[in-house]
Amino acid sequence: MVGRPLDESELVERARQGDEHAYQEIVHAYQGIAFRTAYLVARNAADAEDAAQEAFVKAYRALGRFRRGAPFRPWFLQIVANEARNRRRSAGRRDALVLRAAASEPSGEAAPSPEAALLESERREELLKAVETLPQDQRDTIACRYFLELSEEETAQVLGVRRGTVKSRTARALERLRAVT
Amino acid sequence: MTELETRLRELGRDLALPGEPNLSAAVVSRLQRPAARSWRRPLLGAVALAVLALAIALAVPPARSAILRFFHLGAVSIERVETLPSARERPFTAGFGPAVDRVAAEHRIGFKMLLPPLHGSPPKRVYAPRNELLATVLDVPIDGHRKPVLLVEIPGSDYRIAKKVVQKQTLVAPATVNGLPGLWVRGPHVIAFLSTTTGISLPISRISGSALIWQRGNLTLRLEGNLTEEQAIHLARSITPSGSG
Repeated sequence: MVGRPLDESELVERARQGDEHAYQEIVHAYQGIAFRTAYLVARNAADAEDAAQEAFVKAYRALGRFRRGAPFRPWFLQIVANEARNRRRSAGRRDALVLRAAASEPSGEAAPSPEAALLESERREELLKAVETLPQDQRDTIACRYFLELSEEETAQVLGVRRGTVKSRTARALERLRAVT
Repeated sequence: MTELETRLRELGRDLALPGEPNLSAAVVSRLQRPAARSWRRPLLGAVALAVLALAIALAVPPARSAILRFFHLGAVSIERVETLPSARERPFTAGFGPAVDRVAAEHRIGFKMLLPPLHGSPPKRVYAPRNELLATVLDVPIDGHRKPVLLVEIPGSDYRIAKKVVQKQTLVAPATVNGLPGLWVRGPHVIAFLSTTTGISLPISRISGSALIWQRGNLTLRLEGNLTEEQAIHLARSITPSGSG
């Protein structure tokens, strides 16, 4: 008999009962976004890896306190972000965000002219530079909302603030970005 | 969604983030250890024992000079001297002899090498000098760059196998790796790998950089490279049986 794949809530429930294989599947599914979240907060690859690993261990041990039926992702990413913030505070050096050398072109469209591609590249660099100059709380909010593509609700939980705070920080950040780009 | 928001999303997709590590092995390995054990407990225990041993030894005058110059962890002994013996910087694998087949060497020596997660690229060259230890050079990602590190694994607890000679300025500090006892040696020192049968060390004596030594069961592991203590411990934590690739 071929078993059906378990959905997330079933995996979480099994992991809560001590099934390490189930938790390993969760780790596999979430390690990408955990690392990206940690990196965007800590800005250091080693710290991000360390924070993500620590978060997985802490989350496993805290599963007993996880509310049944609640979404796992924001709860877990909050732990990741906390771990990454702790490391950010103690780190002496942080990496700047950089763009990939060759960004992907929009599918289905003709390749832009070299001049247009250069212009677009400069615009993206300019926008990234502007994001980097935002205050920390606004930068974290922009990273959650747009770089990690989390909802307002998820962003609020990950950053440990109210949804209204996410809205206001986002609005202020967008206003600043519009002014400088 | 406004145009600016769309641009921010596209920007997020175009960020050059570091390669995502495979965390499964390291996480599972950590879950298999008891949760209640904090890293502080074994470290404090080890420090307390060391202080007690030192206090007892210092009470005996003839033992004073010796105990201050010599101690060991697993298969590694460390001796502190005024002046380092003559040695020079040499490649990591100097004196290890030819590279050997890893699986065959593991079978001969009787243990399976512990490795960090290697993402499908096992070590290309493994050395098994005198069939007493296993060593390999790994190219590991550190802060976005790849760095070579030497990983040596020695079974048993015969502390004569690896001998470190350090000078006064070399830091030798207690460290823990996943709750296991270890030592962090920072600064130039001479490392020699001796034979348990003949006691001969040459031709493997060389100047070593900083190194982390820790004991895992019957195995003593030594990690050497151009790493900070934090980087070395971070890498060491990922070296587990399930991390082998």
